[in-house]
Amino acid sequence: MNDILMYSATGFVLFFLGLYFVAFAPLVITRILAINIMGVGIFMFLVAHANSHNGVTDPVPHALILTGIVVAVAGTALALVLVKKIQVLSHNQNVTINSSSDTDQHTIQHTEQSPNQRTKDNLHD
Amino acid sequence: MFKDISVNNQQVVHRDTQSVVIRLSIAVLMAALCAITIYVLALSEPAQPILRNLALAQLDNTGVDNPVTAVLLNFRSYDTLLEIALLYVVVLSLYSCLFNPNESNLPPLPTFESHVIVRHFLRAFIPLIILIGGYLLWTGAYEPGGAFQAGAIIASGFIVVRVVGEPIIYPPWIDTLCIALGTATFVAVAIAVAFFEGTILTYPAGSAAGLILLIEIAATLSITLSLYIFYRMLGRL
Repeated sequence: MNDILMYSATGFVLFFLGLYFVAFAPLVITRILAINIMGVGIFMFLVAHANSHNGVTDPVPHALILTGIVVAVAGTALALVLVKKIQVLSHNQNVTINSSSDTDQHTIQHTEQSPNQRTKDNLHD
Repeated sequence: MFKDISVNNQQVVHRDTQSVVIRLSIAVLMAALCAITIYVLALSEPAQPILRNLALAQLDNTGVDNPVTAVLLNFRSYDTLLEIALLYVVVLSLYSCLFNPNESNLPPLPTFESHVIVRHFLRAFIPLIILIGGYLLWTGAYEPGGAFQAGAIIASGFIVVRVVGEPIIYPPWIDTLCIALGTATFVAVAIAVAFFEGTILTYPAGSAAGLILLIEIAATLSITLSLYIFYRMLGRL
């Protein structure tokens, strides 16, 4: 029981750390990472509880976690692409992506070219 | 809002202290919540593993020896079907996000010449990575392993090749085919078994092992290509 409790406690700490940074992280990418860390915390909790006393592991949480990892990867990829898309689009209209209204220094830097130029580049290679 | 800073410094300082107080109080609240959860967890009795006993009791009828694979592709194959479908939908939405409609294919990533040792090492290594992927796919029936692990390993091989700067050249229809293959095979099997058993995804007795292997192979191809496409999309941003 002690092992299970230790792993579950670590999972919960990760979950709440992730939750805090989802709420307060200045960068969008930090928030995406924080959501992933929340997910990892939940996976740890599930894995800890799949472990049992007489040495037979519970396959159901393991299967859940495998599915969850795929969903997390897909969600992260989609989120990153959407953030980038918003950044490229807002670059045209001089809107900055800043998830927090209190800080300025963490605004995503716009070092990219304009979208039209980028498409041309893409076509050329 | 930050326009305030040039107008009224006093106000900004005030806001900063306010936000720090809010953040600190929420951090303390979360730490307290976390501590309470762990405390309750420490006091509570462990849950009875009802699902585990059900799954292990029926393991002989599933066509595989690994209970996790049995849950993924037999008991709860519905979940896995939706998971593969989700990968498919995400790849489609990534394409719609990035695509120039005038362009039919994903633009290639830049290639460059890496060090000769790296390239030759990679040449020896890539077949091994693919072999390990195939082994993981096969061993999923007996031990930990399976379609997703195999797909992740093979996709990592692809990504290593790209990171080193070598081109991966294949006709674009392979992308289209392989992304759809996993979902299509899974749905086809689900509907096909419905003709024999009356409900979808209930494998007829004796055919479970073969059908699971078929689904796993298709899913591996699909997952490999999907993960590689994620990488290409993000690398091309």
